[in-house]
Amino acid sequence: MSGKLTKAPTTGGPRSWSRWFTTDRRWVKMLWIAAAVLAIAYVVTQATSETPPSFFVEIVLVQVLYAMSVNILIGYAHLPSFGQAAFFGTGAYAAALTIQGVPLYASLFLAVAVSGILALLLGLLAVRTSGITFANVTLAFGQMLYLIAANSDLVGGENGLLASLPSQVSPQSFWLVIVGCVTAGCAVVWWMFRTPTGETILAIRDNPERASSLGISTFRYRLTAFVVAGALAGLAGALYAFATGIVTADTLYWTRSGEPIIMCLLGGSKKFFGPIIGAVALTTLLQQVGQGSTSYLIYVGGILLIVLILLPQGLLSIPARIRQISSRWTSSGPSDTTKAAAL
Amino acid sequence: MNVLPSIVSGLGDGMLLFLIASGLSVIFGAMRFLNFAHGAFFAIGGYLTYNFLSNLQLTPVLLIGGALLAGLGVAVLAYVSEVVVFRRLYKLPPIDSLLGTYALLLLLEGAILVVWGPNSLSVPYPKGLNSTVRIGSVDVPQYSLLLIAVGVIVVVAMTLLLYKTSLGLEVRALAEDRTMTQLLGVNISGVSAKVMLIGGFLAGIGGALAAPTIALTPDLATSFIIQAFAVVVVGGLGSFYGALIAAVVLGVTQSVVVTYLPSVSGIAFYATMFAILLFRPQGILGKSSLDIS
Repeated sequence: MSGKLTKAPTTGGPRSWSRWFTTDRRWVKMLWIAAAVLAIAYVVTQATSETPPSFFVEIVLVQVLYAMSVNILIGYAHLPSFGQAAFFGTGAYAAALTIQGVPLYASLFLAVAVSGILALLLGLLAVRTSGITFANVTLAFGQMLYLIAANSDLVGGENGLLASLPSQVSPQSFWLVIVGCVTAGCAVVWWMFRTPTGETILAIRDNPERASSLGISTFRYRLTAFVVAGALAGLAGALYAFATGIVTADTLYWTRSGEPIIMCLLGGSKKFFGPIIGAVALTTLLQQVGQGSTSYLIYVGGILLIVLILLPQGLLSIPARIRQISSRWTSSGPSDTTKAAAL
Repeated sequence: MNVLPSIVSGLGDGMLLFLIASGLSVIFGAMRFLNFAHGAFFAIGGYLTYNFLSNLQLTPVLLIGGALLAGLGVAVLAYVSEVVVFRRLYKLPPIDSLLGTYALLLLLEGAILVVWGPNSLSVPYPKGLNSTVRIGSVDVPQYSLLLIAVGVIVVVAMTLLLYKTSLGLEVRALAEDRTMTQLLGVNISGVSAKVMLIGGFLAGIGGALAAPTIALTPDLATSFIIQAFAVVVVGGLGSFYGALIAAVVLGVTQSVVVTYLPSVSGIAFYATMFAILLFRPQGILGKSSLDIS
């Protein structure tokens, strides 16, 4: 749809740079290609260099996958779950418990399967509700799992479990595993919302009454979204466990469910790349501030508030905001504002 | 073993929950707005009490005085939050506004961390309320009796406020039919600021009275708000008396389970919440039409 808009007649004017920025989208394409080349080069250097890959970048990637999975619910299905930590943590624990007995790929697979099944079981009950009630049902479920894990000796109680990689998996090859899994996970979300199932989930989001009056089982499609989101969160949790080497009950605590939601809204939950931008931005910010420092929470809360109030559509809406403002300057009539809205 | 002492202390805990939840619930009824930052109001109430009273020989009267002062301080904070932050969140989609209050919770939790530090602080029980009192043949904790008394006073005061004042009338009208109330010329931001002031006052008192029973740590806000949310949704969003019933049910359940089955204590609380919401999603006294999605 943006392709058509590039051909829209531009009437020039005193602020033509803003027209170039907003209507000529070739620079966007060039940016994408440059970013892709840089990313591939980075992945290869990290995988072939002697020193182990950067721990920080691994965590960023895991957060990207987690935020992407949560955005299935926040952005696409409108199921505001405050309990996704249940699946993130379940994936982490499943990985830590199985890695002694099975190879890495099987352990990751089991983590996905276990958290997917758990999401199916919870979803069968919880997806019948919606809105604030749904948020609280999932929250209660997550907190139950947290308390069970924190008090159970089987999974190490408060101390947690070690999740060390098998010795035959080098840090370099684990790096490739992370990149592969995160890319695959994001690709699943991309692909899912281009299939009829995904389109139906979007239709239900936009108008649940109309969808169900057309004979669509809203319950079934919402459940599908919930299970996929849970399984991907489990994968993110498993990768997180191996990257950090330890799993504690904190992976199940409710604030861990809130984090990816912040990332989605920070980047922009209505856009595919929103959670990616949000996860990178927030994780980088937290690393700069330092997780242990006292002002850390002030930064997170403050930035989130500012974004929510000034940029309710997230960081990715900055170009659209610029278009809006610049069209106000050039005052070229209402047609420009409608274009900005269409983009 | 008699079950009465744990029921009484459960009632006391329930009243603490009710002090936070009642404000949350009334605000939700009037504004359709669920506020995470309320947990921080509660925690700050506790911390302020620590500041007011930590160097004094604590008597019950002093504690009540400190609690009222803390309540006032928090009420001011809640009012400022309403004017500076919440007012800008009302027009956002519900999930975004919920996230906005979550952001404020994080911000205030960070402020607590900066002002009072990461170590846990404690306020002692006041003299004369630190032991048990014999009722019939059983000993019940004195402090719980104080909490129950405060709870009863708050229920009476809030009932008078809701049913005998014009503010109460406006709040109830907003809960009943928002559009119509606005059409009749009720100033929503005015009501919202006043309700937030009252809710903040109750949360501050709750935090102050909870201070002797808990350790004051910065994560108090996040752990307590979840329990308060549980009370509000189980009671029925926007229902004041629903919150009262839910606080009593959840508090007593928790306390009895802690006494007899300590290993599943916290889980019972959330399991009760989970079960009630699944079988009665609108909560005990809620109207299903109030839910926002």
